[in-house]
Amino acid sequence: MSLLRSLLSIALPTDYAGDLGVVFANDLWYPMLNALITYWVPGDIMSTLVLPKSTTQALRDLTGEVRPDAALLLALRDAFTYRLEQIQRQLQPFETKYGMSFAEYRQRWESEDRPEDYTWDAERDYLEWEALMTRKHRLENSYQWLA
Amino acid sequence: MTPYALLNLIVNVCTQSPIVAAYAVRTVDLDVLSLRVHLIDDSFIEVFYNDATSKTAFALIVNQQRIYGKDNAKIGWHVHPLASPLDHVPCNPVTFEEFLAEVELLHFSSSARKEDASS
Repeated sequence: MSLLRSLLSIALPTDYAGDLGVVFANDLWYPMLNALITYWVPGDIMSTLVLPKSTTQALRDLTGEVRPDAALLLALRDAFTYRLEQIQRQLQPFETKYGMSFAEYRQRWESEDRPEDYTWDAERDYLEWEALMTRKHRLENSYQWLA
Repeated sequence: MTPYALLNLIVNVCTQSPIVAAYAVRTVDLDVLSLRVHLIDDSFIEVFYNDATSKTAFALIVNQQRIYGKDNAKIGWHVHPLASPLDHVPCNPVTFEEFLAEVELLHFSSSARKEDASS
């Protein structure tokens, strides 16, 4: 994609609405310029990142992809996958301890009034478990529009 | 309130409190804040906040036991009283600043009274 088109995309973001982004200098300019990454979330304002050369090089090395926008997407997907796997590992002890998923546990938690649910251990477990699920849902939602 | 905004408030309160020795953030992200506020007598307050679910919990921990707490984890806001922390009694919502003031009054005043009585 040409530098001119990149700059136009900044001026005319609706051309790319809904896309993660586009944009960087062409091969001729690339060695001299930092990569410009333009992105936005639909309904949100557009942002432009100027990536330092070292970062674009790192993205290229990391992913094997020479196009900065594609490399950024690949790196983001890897990061989401890694973090979701981490969360799944953190969820496992809770699921093992209580022998059920968080959805099942929450249903029991909300529908029954058992004295043991008011102990600090139980309340802390619930809050930490719920926090992991909150994090997981946020990452899954973001990952959807990357995919 | 975002977790980062709450963290700023808590840090401000902690820096002005005579009973706070230090604090350690375990988690702070777009939805969740979890931290431990260490008090001068080796007890600590666990703070938990989930903006996405509006859950908040404050717990005063001494010797690995919650001896006082307020949260809205299961039902609405309730207190685990100092005299009987396994109980849960409905109460009004509290901020961290209010909870810390209660801890100072309930825990440190009672600790001081015990020390006075023993000496």
